[in-house]
Amino acid sequence: MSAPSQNAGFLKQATITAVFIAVLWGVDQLLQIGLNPYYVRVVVNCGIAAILALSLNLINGCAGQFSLGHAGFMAVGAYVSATLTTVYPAGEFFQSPLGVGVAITIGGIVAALAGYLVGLPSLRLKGDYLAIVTLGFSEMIRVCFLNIPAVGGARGMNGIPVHSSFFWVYLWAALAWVFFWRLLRSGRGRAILALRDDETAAEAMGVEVSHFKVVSFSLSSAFAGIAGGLFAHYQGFIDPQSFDFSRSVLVVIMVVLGGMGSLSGAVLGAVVVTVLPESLRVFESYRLIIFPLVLILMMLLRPKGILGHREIWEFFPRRAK
Amino acid sequence: MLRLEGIEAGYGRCAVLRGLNLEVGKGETVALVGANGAGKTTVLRTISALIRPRAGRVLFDGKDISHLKPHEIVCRGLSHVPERRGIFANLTVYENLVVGGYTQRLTSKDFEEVYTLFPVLRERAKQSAGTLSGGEQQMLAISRALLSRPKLLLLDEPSLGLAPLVTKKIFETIQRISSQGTTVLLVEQNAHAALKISQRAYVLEVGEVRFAGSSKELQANDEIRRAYLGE
Repeated sequence: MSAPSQNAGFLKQATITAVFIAVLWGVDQLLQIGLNPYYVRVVVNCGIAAILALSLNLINGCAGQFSLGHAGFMAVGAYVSATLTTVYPAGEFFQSPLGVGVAITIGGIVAALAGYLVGLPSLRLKGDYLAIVTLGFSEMIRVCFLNIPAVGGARGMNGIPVHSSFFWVYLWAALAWVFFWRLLRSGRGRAILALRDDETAAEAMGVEVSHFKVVSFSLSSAFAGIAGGLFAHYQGFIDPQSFDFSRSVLVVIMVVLGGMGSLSGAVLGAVVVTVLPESLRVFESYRLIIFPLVLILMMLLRPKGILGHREIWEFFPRRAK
Repeated sequence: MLRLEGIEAGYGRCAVLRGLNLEVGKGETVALVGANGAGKTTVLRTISALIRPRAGRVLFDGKDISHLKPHEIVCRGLSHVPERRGIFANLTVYENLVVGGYTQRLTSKDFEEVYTLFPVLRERAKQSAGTLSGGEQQMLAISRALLSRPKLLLLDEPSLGLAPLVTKKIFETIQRISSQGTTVLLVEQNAHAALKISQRAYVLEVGEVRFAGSSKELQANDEIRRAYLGE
């Protein structure tokens, strides 16, 4: 590849990124004046859910490990970042929008470390057994926060500076998308995919199985932690109940419903699982019956998830080039 | 090139190999035949460190490799085509090959080589590997192993579940691979075919070497013909 074409490629990418950020910011401004705050909230929650689903998709969908503890990593990110910005303010800095961004990033890094710790038992465990360990781990994390008075215990944390918005959530979501997209199309990504199909064969091909399991756990947890941080700084309030077992299950549902291993499927699943309960509010308490019913119907009609292993654009015939 | 000295291995409390000695010289094709449960597959799994031996040593190029991890062994130039092929069913044929060359820096020339060996793989490159027929999957498994540029290729039952004609094609290709300088250790139920393309052979029986010798000798030996070749 010659240098000028590389430069042109870089320029093109930089332009696309700049335009994307400008559009995001514009939409953000429009939403603030134009749209009912309730709808804005649903849209932002979709974005947070999409980050969670994209990250869990790496473990459950691509590496073929069954994790049921995503809420735990989300909690780590949320509590670490919120502690930085609220309980233990390191000067004014962490109160500013930029500081909140830094705090959320730190939350993601700490969550990655937690993911590394959970990734270790995954070397020996498979399927249901791994699911139980991850579930236990996330409950442990939740109970820890429940019993630390400094972070509010059962009352939760109040007064977290609200600095994440549509703009920041979707910027992170886009970053997560690009990250996982590039990862899965790299040699390392294919090695992770190979794990899912046949671990022994992957090992015999020279793929370092244990390394990749732990790495995918850490990467996935990092983004779960970031989603947690965004969540905390959007709601302005967190308590241990926000990160209980049912949230982990919801994320698993998003991934399974959308289609295991498909990025667009994960996003679609996140949107469906977030919007559907909201749109059913007219049925009042019946929605608690209708929502699972819809999920069961969807799984019966499309047992491999809405998109299966494929990406959404693979369903449309490609235009001739 | 490869030497197994007094290998004892098994699964859990069940011992499969009981003090096995075996040698493969450079450039040779060596067949490993024997009844079900004799320990043929276990030998290969021990060599590529998918299971750890309880006693004994595995020497490759004169160095002890029995303490290495599986991926390190692949880097040393030892590639294993597992039993039942173990292809990655949800990846495309091309992606399977990429994972095969995971330890190497592949160029399009490497892909050309395997496509010349098995032209059908070129046609199916973008198809997901689970949709291939059994024979094509075996071709893919062999090609995938070749892309790690092995000095020694371990083949576990390449003829498993294949039609006689396809088996013949696979065996011809194995001969061709060996003639291009790759050493081959071949595990087979189909003893006739295996003896035909190998120079030497070992007959395993409950975890021990029962007979060893040149393939011609074994083919001529009446006792072996009755016991293992079904005559």
